[in-house]
Amino acid sequence: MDRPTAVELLEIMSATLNETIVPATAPHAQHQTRVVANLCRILMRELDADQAEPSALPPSLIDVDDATADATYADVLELVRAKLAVNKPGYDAHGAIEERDIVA
Amino acid sequence: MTAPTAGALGNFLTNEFGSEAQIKNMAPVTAGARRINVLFDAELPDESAGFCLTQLPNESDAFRSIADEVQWLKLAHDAAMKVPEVVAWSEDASILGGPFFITRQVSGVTIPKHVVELCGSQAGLGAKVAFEIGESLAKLHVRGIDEVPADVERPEGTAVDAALAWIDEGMSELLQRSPAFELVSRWLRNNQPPPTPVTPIHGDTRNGNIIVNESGLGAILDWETAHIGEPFEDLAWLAQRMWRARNDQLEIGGFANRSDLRAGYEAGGGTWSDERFHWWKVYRCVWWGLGLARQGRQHLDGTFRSIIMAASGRRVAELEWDALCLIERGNHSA
Repeated sequence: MDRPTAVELLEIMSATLNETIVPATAPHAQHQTRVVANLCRILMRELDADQAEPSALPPSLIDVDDATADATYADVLELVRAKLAVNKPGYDAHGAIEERDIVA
Repeated sequence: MTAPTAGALGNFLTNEFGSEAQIKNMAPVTAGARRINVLFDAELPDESAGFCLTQLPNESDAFRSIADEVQWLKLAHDAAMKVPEVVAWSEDASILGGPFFITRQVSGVTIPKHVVELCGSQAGLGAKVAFEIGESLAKLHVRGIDEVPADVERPEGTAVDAALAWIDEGMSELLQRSPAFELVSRWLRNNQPPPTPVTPIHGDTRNGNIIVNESGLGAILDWETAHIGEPFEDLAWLAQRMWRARNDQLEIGGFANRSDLRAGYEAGGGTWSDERFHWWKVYRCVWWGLGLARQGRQHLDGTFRSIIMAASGRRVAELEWDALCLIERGNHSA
């Protein structure tokens, strides 16, 4: 495919929405426009992300024994971390330890 | 939905107050997705005061009728909670274009980021706000469920049973598997707190549904989802990360510590339990995650096509992360 690539196009689409369209848009539509711009950036990251094969998990974790639940916890956390890297980078900077510290 | 006019509003209030009411400074404010909220001043023969009009487009879109919501507001007001005082209401759509109620205006800020900034700018303010929220909620939670509008659903079984049933339903509707919510729903089942009596609860007390000013808490808003349930469902909802406006250092709404909320709750006559608080904090985290997944699904199946609903589907991972962090391990039996 010719340049600009999909990622390069999404970058300028997001920038145009935020810098040109939002200021020229009625207040009720500004929020939606910012959401579209943010979704463009999510797609950019998704296209760039490693398509790593996730670890195999039991078919359901709802009824597993304690040992299995504890053993799979780290893999499940990694699975969610990979989604956050696309959907909301940096969100995982506040984790279990940080949350425990502010509650204490 | 067409916005109400000053003329129609003036006529209604003139009838209601029995003296000429002049409407000035009507200003629509951002608020709920389905509702119109308009601030205005009314000049009466012997006073000029600020009011807020809350109007629904039509009955079918409402979680509950205006009459029910007004009854909840009056219950809360009688319980000496900080809530807006209702001065008039009507379900007659011919008056303004939809059912509505009018409350006295309460000054302050409501946008979560502004609440966090205001509390951060004045020493002790955030702690005071959390104390007053705790005190207000305790005053609601000690009331009997016989004081709640008669047509409000009385849950069968315990609040925990109802919560777990809700999780099962949400999990069964997911378009794709959530191993995170599987682990967390397992944890919820294995760590249930002892059953306690249900009480009236607000249902959506959070940074975003409160008015805060320099003196502290102005009012707890939005009684649309008030119901009979578990007190700690109210208290723990305040502690979710999404209401902190990125100020994750302060658990309660990004403006206070849990101990501030607890002190107010106990001063208002409530009984505190960290165990119950934690369980309901985990529950409400999954509850909201499944709610976001449902919004994404409603976009995809055409029930409610919208860019906001579509984007909600991509926010589920935040709640999966938060919930996993709260249980810390798969079992967390220690």
